[in-house]
Amino acid sequence: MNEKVAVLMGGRSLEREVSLKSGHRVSEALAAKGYEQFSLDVDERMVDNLIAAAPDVAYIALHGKYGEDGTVQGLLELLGIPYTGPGVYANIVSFDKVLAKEILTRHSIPTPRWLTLSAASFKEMGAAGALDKAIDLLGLPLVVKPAGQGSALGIKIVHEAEDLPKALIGALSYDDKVLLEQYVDGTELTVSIIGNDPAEALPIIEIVTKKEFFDFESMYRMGATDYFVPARLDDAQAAEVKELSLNVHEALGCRDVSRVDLIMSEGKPYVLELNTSPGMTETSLLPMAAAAHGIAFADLVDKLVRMALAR
Amino acid sequence: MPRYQLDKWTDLYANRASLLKSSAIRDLLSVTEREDIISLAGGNPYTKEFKMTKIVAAATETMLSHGNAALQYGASEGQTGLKQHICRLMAGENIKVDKEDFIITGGSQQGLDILGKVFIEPGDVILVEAPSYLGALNAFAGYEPKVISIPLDELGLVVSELEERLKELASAGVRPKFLYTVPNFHNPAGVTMSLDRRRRLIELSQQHKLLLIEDNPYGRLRFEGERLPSLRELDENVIYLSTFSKILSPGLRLAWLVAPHPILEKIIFAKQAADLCSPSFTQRVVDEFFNQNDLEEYIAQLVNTYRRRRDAMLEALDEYFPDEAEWTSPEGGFFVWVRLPEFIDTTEMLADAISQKVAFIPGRAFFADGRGANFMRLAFCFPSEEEIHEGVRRLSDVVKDQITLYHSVAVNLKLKSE
Repeated sequence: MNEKVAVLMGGRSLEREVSLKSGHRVSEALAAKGYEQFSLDVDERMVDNLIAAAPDVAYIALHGKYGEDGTVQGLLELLGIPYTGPGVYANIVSFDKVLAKEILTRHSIPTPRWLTLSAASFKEMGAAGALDKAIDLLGLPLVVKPAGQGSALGIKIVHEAEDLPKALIGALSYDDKVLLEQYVDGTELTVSIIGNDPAEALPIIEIVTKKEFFDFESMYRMGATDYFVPARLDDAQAAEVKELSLNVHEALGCRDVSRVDLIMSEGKPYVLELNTSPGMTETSLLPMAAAAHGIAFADLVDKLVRMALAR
Repeated sequence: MPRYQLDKWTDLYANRASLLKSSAIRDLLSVTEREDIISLAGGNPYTKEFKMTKIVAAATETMLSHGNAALQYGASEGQTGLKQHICRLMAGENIKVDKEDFIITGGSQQGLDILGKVFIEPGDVILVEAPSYLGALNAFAGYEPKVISIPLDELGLVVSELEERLKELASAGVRPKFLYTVPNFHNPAGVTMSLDRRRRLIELSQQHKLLLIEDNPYGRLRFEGERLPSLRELDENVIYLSTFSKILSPGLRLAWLVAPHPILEKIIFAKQAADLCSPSFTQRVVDEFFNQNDLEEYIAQLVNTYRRRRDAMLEALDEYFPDEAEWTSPEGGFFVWVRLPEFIDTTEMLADAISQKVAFIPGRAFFADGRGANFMRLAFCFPSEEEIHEGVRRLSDVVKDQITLYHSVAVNLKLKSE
């Protein structure tokens, strides 16, 4: 067992630093499992390097733009290199929060009310004239998110109508399209899904932050947040949340692995989004859920690589 | 219910460990290490014009003549030869010190950390400028002070505001431990404290028995205008820090800290506890470097380089930046501080800038209290004049785009709150 694994990490995304942390940790795990592995900090030489090195499989430890939006997956398909995690379609529709919400809605999956606006809609079509209608529809507070951005970068909670333009400008710094969403107050949950036929939901993690939402600052820092594994839910609620998460995984066309973020409000779960390339750092949620299920980090990495190699 | 511990040593950490953290902004800037991005972010001195053979010669001579001493522990206060050279450098700035009046530290950063250790109890009030040098805020934060920020303007620290705060604190029975200030070519604001304000600050400090910490890393890098007396020159009770980091090399990690003798004694004990002594090797190499060379010529060359870069940045800002933006015109140092309209959050704007392949440091990083969202720091020290011009041009497009977008979003707004 010495298949050659290329660990793709870093790159140009705003989540470069986190990706490097995930990637280094994955590399160590692969080495411990006896794989021949090498890391690639993704740049314009990636394709040449992959062709030259001819790995048996690519481990995608990239986060954010180009790493989990279908770009790198599409290239790897073209090169004929199997890769970890969901395929092109699932990455495209999950990374674009607007597409993902549309698909969830079509599958009648409960998710906070939403609408989308773009830079062009303001500049070319006077969308500002419809903002009061947006506020009527979603209520206050509401949440503004860049459509295509991982982590929690650019996300703002708007309490007063007059703060909306500033929040929109902030979110539009990350992407030309934004998602406006009803603010649902409740308990933050995340469910990691792993495996195929059948996919399995790992123990639910409950996230308790002192801040208003799970932001970039607390997401990757030790000790800034409390986690409860399994989440403090009764059995029926936990079963409902897991089933719902598996439905989301399927609706968005995922395979192998994903992580679904939800809010539990007044006993009802609402789906926020799905991540196709969950973090693998010391403080990441997928490895935490796996550990709670008795799967050590190196075994988790091994599982993901095995699934890719089996394709 | 199990509370999951990400880190099995969580229960062992001191409270202050949670205060020590890397920032999200630092993570974002990681992407700017990429070569195709013009970085106006880092305050790295330009070392490429330095004649490396001069350091080679000094290092060779050091090892051949004093090799054993260079490999040994040295005095905690610092190596005598180097200290004599520093006395001469200081005399050039009209500060008369003997080698017993200061110690050598591992960069000024170590000096700041030691000052925090010697003076700050958790909850003590310290005064800083708003904005302030990020590294000082971090160094002090570990000692858990209550930080009060005093605003800056074009003429440096607003001393009248300081006076108000000192009165309030005095009437509440609180004596602040010290005021930390960078009077010359401020990081990040680029401004220099006026002579009037320097005098007034000294008066206030005497009146309120306020200890002043003067950090002067950039003082020698004046491009124009008249040299102003340092606070230490005006009053021997001022603690004064300076460094070789900007005029020679930050890689050497050599700086010095001048303090009144009773304070210096405590500082030496803290220095001993921290690292016994600064590296004998680098101290002796720099000592030998001064025996063989005159640093003044190199400083003059640096001043020329930085002046041209400052000019390039100010010209580009004039040429490209919209009327809604304002910026400082530094007479020295490394930085221009830019104020954008209030509706722009430069932390978010950085994402847009990075995608346009230019980077800066968002203003919020330099405030202890979360303000400064519409400011940014542009450094002209490291990139070439051409890169500065192009970088500012790219950045101006990002800023203009944000302004246009804002007006298209906010104009004609018929919101419920109205």
